[in-house]
Amino acid sequence: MEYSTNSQLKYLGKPVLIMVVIISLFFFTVFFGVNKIKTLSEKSSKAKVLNNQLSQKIDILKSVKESVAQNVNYADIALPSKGVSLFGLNQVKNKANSLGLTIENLKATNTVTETKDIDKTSISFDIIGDQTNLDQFLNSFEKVLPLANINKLSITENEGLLSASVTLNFFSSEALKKIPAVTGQINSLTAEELDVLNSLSSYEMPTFGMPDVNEFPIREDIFN
Amino acid sequence: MEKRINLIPEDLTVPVSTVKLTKLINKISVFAVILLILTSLGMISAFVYFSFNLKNIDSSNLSLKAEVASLEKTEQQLILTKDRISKISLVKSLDSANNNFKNYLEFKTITTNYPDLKLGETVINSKGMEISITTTNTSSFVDFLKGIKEFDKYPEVSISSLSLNPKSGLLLSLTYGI
Repeated sequence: MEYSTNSQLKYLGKPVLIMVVIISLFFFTVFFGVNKIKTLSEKSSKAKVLNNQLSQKIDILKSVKESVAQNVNYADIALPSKGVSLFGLNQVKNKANSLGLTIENLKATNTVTETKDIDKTSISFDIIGDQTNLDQFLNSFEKVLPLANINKLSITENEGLLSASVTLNFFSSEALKKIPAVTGQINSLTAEELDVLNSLSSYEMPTFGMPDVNEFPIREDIFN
Repeated sequence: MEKRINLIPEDLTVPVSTVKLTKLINKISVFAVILLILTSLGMISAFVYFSFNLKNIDSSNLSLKAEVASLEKTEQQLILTKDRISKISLVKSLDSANNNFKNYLEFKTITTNYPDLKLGETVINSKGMEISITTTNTSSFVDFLKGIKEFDKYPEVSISSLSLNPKSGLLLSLTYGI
């Protein structure tokens, strides 16, 4: 009598079961482990990219810190977000006064949109004076802050004095409303941008008279 | 010499092929166990390495973010300045009468060579300029017309009017660029 098939299967059953369990465990470990490691590796890569971006950003910010801080006022006043008429009228009056020119009919129009994101305010006036000073006055608006240009000019000479009807455009722009997130990318100032920024420092800033608080008269001590 | 004696009845003896198969399965199982252990160790090592690495980068990122936040003012200034500079360049490129005014000043220096000429009303805008000239001296006027070609700031010049008044003399209107 031979060993029965059932007995053979029973004999083989345990080792086969063990083998199947071990192989299943192996595949499960590989599948689960690879997935987990892949996720971690992806997170790590993303974190590395962010790390590089942040390091780069810090380098840029440190390198431009001084140059930007020095000239930010000029850039701000070159295209103010508000008060451009005041700045413009102030420049016109101060310049005319300093050159001994007489101004009449000085007025500023409403601000209108010139191009996308840039507004303009026209300031018109009549001005009388000698030729040299008037030429100097009109030429000076090429390098004033806020940025301005001559829109229209009509000059007539009368008994040695020149009189001109002038329309100047002063420009303004709304401030940016959205600043990028901390992790957002930024670029440093290019050479051209630095040139523009540095050139602004040679422009004439508007000057306003400010009351000096220290100049108030000292009160008398009535008890002495 | 050791002698093996099989005392189990033949019908209870496991066939040789089955024993061989069992041994093979056992070997495969042992091999799979070794592989499983090695793979598990590898996976654990990789997991620990990547976790440690990620933890380090994350903590580095946190400190970098704090540093960026401390430079927030500079960042805002940089972004605002860049925005302003692009707009400033745009404003500088806009049409204006500035250049035409400079051209007018140059034109005026030419007319000083002709003392009998008198500049009348001049209108300047972003497109060009219109100049009126009066004189009572005809020969000076002709010389001026000959000499005016020195002024070559505009590709074309047109005489918009030329009139003669017996009292005030000749009146010439020149149009540049408009």
